[in-house]
Amino acid sequence: VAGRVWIPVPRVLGVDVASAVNLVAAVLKYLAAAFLLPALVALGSDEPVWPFLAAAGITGATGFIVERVTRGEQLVGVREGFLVVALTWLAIPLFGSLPYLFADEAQLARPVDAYFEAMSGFTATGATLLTDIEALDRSLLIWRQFTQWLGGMGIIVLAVAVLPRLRVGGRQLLQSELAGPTEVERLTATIRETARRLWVLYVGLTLAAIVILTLYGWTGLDDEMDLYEATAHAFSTLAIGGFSTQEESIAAFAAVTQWTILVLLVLAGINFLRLYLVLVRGRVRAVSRDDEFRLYLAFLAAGSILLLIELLAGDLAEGESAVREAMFQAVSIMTTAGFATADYTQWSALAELTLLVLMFLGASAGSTGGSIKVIRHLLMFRIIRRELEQTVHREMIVPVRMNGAVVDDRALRGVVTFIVLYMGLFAFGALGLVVDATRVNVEVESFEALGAAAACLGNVGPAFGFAGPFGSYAPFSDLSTGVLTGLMWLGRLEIIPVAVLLTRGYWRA
Amino acid sequence: MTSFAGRVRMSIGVEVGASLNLVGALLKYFSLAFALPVALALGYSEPVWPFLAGGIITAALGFGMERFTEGKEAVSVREGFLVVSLTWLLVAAVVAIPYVLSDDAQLSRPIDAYFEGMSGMTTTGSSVVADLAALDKSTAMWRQFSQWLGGMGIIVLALAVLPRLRIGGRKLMESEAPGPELEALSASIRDTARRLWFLYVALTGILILVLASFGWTGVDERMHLFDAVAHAFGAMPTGGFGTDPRSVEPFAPASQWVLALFMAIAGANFALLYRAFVRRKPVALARDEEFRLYVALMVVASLVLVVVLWEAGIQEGEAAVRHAVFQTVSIMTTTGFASTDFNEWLAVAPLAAMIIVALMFPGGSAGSTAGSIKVVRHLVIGRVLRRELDQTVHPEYVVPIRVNRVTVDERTVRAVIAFVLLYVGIFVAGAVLLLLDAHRVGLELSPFDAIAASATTLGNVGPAFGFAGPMGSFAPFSDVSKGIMIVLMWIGRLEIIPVAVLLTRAYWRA
Repeated sequence: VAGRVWIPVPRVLGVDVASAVNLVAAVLKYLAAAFLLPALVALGSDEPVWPFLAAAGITGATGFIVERVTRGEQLVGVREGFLVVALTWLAIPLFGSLPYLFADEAQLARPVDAYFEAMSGFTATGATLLTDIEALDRSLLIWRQFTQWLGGMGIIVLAVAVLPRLRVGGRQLLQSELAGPTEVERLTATIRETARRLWVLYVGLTLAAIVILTLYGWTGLDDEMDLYEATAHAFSTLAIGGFSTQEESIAAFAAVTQWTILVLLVLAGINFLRLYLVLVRGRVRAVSRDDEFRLYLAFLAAGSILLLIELLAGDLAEGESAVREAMFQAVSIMTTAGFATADYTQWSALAELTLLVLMFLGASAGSTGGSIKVIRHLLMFRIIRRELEQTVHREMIVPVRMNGAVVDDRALRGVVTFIVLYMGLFAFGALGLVVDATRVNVEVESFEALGAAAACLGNVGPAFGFAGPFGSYAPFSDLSTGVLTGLMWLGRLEIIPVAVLLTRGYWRA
Repeated sequence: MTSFAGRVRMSIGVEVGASLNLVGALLKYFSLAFALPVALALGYSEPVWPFLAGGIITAALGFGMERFTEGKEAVSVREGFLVVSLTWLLVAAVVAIPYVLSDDAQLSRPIDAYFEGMSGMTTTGSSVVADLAALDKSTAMWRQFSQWLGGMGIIVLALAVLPRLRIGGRKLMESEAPGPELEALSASIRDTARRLWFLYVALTGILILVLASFGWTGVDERMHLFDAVAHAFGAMPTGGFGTDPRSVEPFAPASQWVLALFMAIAGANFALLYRAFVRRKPVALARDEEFRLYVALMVVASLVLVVVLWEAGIQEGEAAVRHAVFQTVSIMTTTGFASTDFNEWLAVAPLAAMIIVALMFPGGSAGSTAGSIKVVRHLVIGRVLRRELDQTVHPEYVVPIRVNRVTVDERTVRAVIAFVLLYVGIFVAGAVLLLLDAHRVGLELSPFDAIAASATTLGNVGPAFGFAGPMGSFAPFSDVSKGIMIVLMWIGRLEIIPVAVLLTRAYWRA
């Protein structure tokens, strides 16, 4: 109660800011524990441990103090949810970037760069500023991978439990699939329940991936693979992140590893609620009968085939490797992972264009993938079809259906709002990048600017030109880096929670 | 013959015969338009027969279609979609006849001629003619005249036809055109059209007089009566065809300022202009939310462009202001005249080039001859987004969207959204297809050029960037690309939905 005196704002505002901050601080406290993993790796490989310990100390202390200061009734409702979500994804990367700053690593020594890299990690984007990845300490590299995995955990909660309750961009569709009571109840309790079940799945899949990949190493199927690499790549695969410990991303590994990661990405791009039903409860129909899943596979297949045709027509690859390269890049970009097994910036303009389009599809809602998501494309198509039918037959009232159930108009409006904001933000982002590039005289083509904006807003990672899959975002100016950091943040939170904070109606009592 | 039409009517729910009958009647009237170039050709001693032949073919086609479908004259709302779509396809084709028949090498190929015809009738202003000076006077004026006639058609389309078909939230305009919905379309259309055509003709007349007087008084040495008429024909329908390969650059600053003013007027809602000028209620302008946003957008964009041009050292002083204002007005109203080669800005001040492309999307006001998305739809979208955000926090908060203090019903709001989504989707698809096709034939086309070309044709603006810049031409595009852009101009002008509706099964079902 004493803490309330410090922040008298809640009295005049309709939003309980103190409670929101309190929850963010609690999350920070848990983040402090996460620094132990890289600290252990540092110990094991004789690298400096103190950056991680210092980061853990600062993060823990900040979380602890802020939590004490803001302690009160802790009534986090739907309204505070927006603020919590927006602040969490700002604060976590901030503290998560501390090890980069403390470590003696020239590539990430500047705060702007470190924050970009951490934001890219926690939003599971995979865009990097590093020009020489392999120069990093093993402990720092595993922290980089780990930020994606932690980000993935957060995203699952965000995508499956938080955003649906905040009714963001038609997300309420997912709500019907949630067990448990609805809005009136306090947000935190139900989130915890859903999160626990899905985290089990997430952790289980990650462990399975580690075991499989490590086995490839032991059995000699892939000489490059060992426990460390397996862990590092399992982290970024399940999170659909895209960071790698290798300069050449997944191209550094054997074909069998590439195929395995491809399959894992496809799995990770499925709605986790449905994946849970299939894998844990054995109800295959939960996926096979799902409209979104079918379209997701269809998009993946179409993207792969297009790329394959372009690869074969351009004599860029042949045989199994052509199939593998086409499929891997299509899956990696569409699910918004951002791994690469080939430098697609060397492919034809057409292939690049195909990849740019794939960046807008995204994986399923309820996965760790980013971008627009397949379900929204599905609904958009049905909304437009209904509109055309009603233009001719005014008396006809056709509901839009999804998996046989009628989707209410409010959710549909949410979908449309999201897409309009997404496209607007994408256009502005690309415009900003081009304008800024001419200001500082960096050579950025309009196509590359479009690619970078789409890749960051969609949490994909690599773009085109110098920011390609084997390249780096380093040539961008600090201002552009800031814009891209903002796009990753906005894209991951699905824009609306942040946009809502900018309205007066949100803050009014 | 009637049995054929009868059979068609039996199996489908649309009166195709009646639609063709109306289109035939329109073509019949349109054949009269060929009289103007015929007269000019006689006066300038140029070949008359391409225009005579064009007129005769058009009239014959019109009569033929009308006779063939005689007795089927009950056109209702449903047939409206088909009539509108077919009219613009066919009229553009007959406009192209003289181009093919005349000896001009630049337009002799049917695809080029059809491109030019469609660009004229949709008042786009994109041209495949690289050397305008080489055209016959009569052919040049026919190009201009096709835009002016297209503008007449668009006024009817925008203010009387589309609102009734409820295209993309066009119902917003419906209050301007009174009359019960189920009434036969043609009757009330005729009344609205007559009033607004009067305004259109009057404004054109004034513009011709002003421009011509500049020529007579020596203010603008380059402005002859021929150019005055031609540019009035290009400006009032927000078309953008000109008589000089350098667009309006060679003309005096005074002429450019006057053209900018008239383009801005032509981009305003004609029903609103009618009230302000003819009924003497200028307050109506100040009270109209769309008009205010329209003016505000033009002012802001002009100011930004002035600063950018001045800063980059491209222009300064009066010239900077004039070129900034002229380009802003010309592109935003989807006219497409250019007072300077803005294609050159791309290298020196990319921001200026991007502003130009961005300005291709707001468009003019609904109810004007302008193309693109239209300002009122942006207004509605902005309010929808704000309401959505408010409702995300306060789900119990239910407020209607209002425009000009009148509640817009939800169905209209949805139609606006569907239109904008389709528009953006088709724009993207168009840009991608143009890129793919350029790649196929080995044509040097940057993604930016492709984006601009798609936006400019879909938005009925005219010039793009690269070789298709304001002083360039669309001739280097492949035939397939030209075909794509013909379609973009066509569906952009018809506001997409009439054409999209024709592609649904529900439309044809009985």
